[in-house]
Amino acid sequence: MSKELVTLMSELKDEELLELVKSELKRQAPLEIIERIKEGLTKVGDLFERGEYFLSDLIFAADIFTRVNDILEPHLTKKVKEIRGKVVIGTVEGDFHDIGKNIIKSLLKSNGYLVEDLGKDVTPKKFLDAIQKTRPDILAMSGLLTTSFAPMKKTVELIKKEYKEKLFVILGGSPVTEHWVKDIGADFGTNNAATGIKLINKILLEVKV
Amino acid sequence: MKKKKESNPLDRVLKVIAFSKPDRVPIIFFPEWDFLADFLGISVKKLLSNVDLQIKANEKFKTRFPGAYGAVSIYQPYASAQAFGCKVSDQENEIPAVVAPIITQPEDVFSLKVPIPWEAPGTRDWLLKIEYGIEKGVPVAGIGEFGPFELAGQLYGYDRMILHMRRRPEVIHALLEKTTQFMIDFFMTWAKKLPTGRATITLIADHVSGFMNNQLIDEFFGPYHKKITQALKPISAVMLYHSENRSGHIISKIGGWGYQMFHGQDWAVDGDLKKTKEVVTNSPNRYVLMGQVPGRDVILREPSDEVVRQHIIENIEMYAPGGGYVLSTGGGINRGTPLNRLDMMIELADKYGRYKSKKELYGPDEI
Repeated sequence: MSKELVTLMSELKDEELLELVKSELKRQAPLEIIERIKEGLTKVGDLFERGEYFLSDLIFAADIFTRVNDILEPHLTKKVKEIRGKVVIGTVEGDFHDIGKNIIKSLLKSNGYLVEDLGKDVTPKKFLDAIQKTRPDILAMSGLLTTSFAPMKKTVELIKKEYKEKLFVILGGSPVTEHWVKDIGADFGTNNAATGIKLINKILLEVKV
Repeated sequence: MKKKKESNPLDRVLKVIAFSKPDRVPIIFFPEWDFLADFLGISVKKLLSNVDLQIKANEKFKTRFPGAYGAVSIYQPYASAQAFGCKVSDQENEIPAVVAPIITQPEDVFSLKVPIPWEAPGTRDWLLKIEYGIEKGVPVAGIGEFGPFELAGQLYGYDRMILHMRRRPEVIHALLEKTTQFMIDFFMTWAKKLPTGRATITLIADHVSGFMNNQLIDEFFGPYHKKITQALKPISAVMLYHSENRSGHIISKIGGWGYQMFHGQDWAVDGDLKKTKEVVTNSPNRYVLMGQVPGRDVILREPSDEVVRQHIIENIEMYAPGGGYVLSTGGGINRGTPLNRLDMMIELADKYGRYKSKKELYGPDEI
């Protein structure tokens, strides 16, 4: 049945999966079920990277995960075994697209991160305020438009000036390239959520070792 | 010996669309609004609010690049979304965007009224600007706007729209019926304003196909585009589909939707860029490919001129033989693009993209 959970998640068969999750709760610990669902989500990410899945499939997968989580949450004493890190996330000022941001948020949560989502059209000042309050390990800024460059740069400049704690800045969105990351003064960048989550896991693992 | 007269950029484009032979591969540039504002030395807001400045910027652009066809027009940002009641952001020197969707509850779709283009804000403003431009002698020949899915995403929210294709398909179909009907009405109204009552070309920008798998595309995307192209047949000579997103999976479908041209990028079929040309050429609904030169990552941002040069030559050599290709950046010309990079495209089309055959249709070895 564990294998079936992985398969149903990776094949996006939502109704069958939700039924199976409910029945598996009688046999398996909720954390075990979550682990299998995460395996399925990883496969979804791999299929996306290979070009077999599309962004709509990633969005659907994130939504299925949320629904599974809703079923399991009352049965979990602790949602995840260990908090891996804290992330502040938002779509930058002037950009109202939040598909990519929402996907990475779901993936972060399912990977054991505490996430503070600032939403869309987030000003540099709002990012700074949230960072000063939350003191996260990572700031993740997202943008779909090429015009996201200027607000991303402004945010990084403001944070470097006003916040002296250790903080990794990661950029996400379809226009993000190596040049962008360098010009903006961020640490890392990605234009797909699956790579983004791997990158964040790697950054924090290396820092904490 | 008398030198043969050179074709002009528009003649070249028209020949390629007819699968006939121009003297060399044509080029079309699509400058973005912020690029044009910088080009004229004014803010984006000023450009978008003043038709005379738009006309001036367009003329300046065409004069600066006589070797390419400048796809410039008279603009009204997010006019169709405004017609339905969306607010558009108002920054001084950035391209505007739709602030927020107007449909808060899925059920609201069923009572959503399809606006009349001449009576609604946004589209009325745009039509008035077009009317003014024509009075001023601007040769407006084309029409263009976002497609039905893109407009639906602006009204409903993209992420919710994408999710509800699976969760609430009846709602999404109802919304797409309405946005499709509006687009047809708007294009028809616009075409009537043109001196001939017909458009030379109609551009429909609908990037969301890049987010959808083929099953979703066949149900929610293709049928609505087909409906538009069929409705516009009497008033538009050429239908042009534009998407800057991933498009390899739709290459075999675009002709069947009724388009004669596709402007895009990231179009490798099964990961193979050469296969794209093969699929299009052998399609019963053959259409013209335009683009694939990365406008942002190469033309704008690549530090080495030599790398840019190689990209352009590769595209010419891959797609121009046999015809049916227009050299262009895959999306618009971005703010900050060095002008010499655009000159380079024209020079290289001239050097590597000259057709030799005198035959009406020409083979792969004839460039």
